[in-house]
Amino acid sequence: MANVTVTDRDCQETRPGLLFSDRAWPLKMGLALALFALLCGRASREISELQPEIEEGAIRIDHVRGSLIHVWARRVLTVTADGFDIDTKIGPFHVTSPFPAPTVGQYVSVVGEFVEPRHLAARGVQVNAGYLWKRGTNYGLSAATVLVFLWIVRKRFRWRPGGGLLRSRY
Amino acid sequence: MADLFTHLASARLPAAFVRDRRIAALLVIGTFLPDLVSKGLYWILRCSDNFETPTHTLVGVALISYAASLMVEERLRRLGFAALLAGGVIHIAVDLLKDNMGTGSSRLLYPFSPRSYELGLIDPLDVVFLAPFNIVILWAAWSIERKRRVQQ
Repeated sequence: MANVTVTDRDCQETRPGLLFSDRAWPLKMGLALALFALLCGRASREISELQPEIEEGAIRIDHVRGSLIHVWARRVLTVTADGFDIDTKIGPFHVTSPFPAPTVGQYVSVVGEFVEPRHLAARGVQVNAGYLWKRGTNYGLSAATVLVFLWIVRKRFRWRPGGGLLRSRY
Repeated sequence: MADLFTHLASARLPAAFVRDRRIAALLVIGTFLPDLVSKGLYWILRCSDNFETPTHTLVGVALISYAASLMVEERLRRLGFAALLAGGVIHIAVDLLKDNMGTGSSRLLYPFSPRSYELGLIDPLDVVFLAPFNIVILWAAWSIERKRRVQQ
């Protein structure tokens, strides 16, 4: 009988394959990020056709008239007999609304369609009560969560750009 | 977006069952990535909302997770990718609970389908009220993890 020793299965290294090997990892990362950027660019074009940004209702109304959009948390500037005006990056936008009117200064979300330049006909209006403190809390809590979590797990990794940026400490 | 504290809680519970603590950490980091990338694109590169759409799609999350997994050492990378991807999928699943007035919270299958999905269960702003529940979930995850470590 031959004198053979076999390395324990748990101690055997498995080849990670082309996708997950160290070979040319910066190139593979660049390719992944390039593909992601292409996807983002394509989404920007295609989804702008399906659901344009509200500002496009002022710039190219003939192209977007009739399109349904969702506008999230915009401040109400004025209230009129047939609706209200909301704040956008390019100035006030009028919203015709059959729903109960919000008050000036409130934040509202609107689902509506473009009818005229700077003019939306609302199909749904939702008042975002407590927008400022809820949004602030949301961002504050999120930033604190990420920082605290990374601080807690930092000991499981160490910074080593030469062989993959994060080398485990085990 | 739901706040990242809610996302942490949602990923921490399955991560408690992962034996390797580095992989468990990557699962949680994976659940942060969609929002970190989308907010990075928005706040730093000033991209439009539509440009950020792929950060919350399955294909986009897979690409982000793959790129991130390449920063981890080789012997951990395959499992690391799976953990980051699982975290990203959990993130999207949690975001699907949001109410965006019927217009959808995630174009899950983009670029194969532009359709947007939502379950419409919670106002995106009201996720701050989930904080007490999240603390209970985190406590449960910590207890499970501690018990498993003692058993080992």
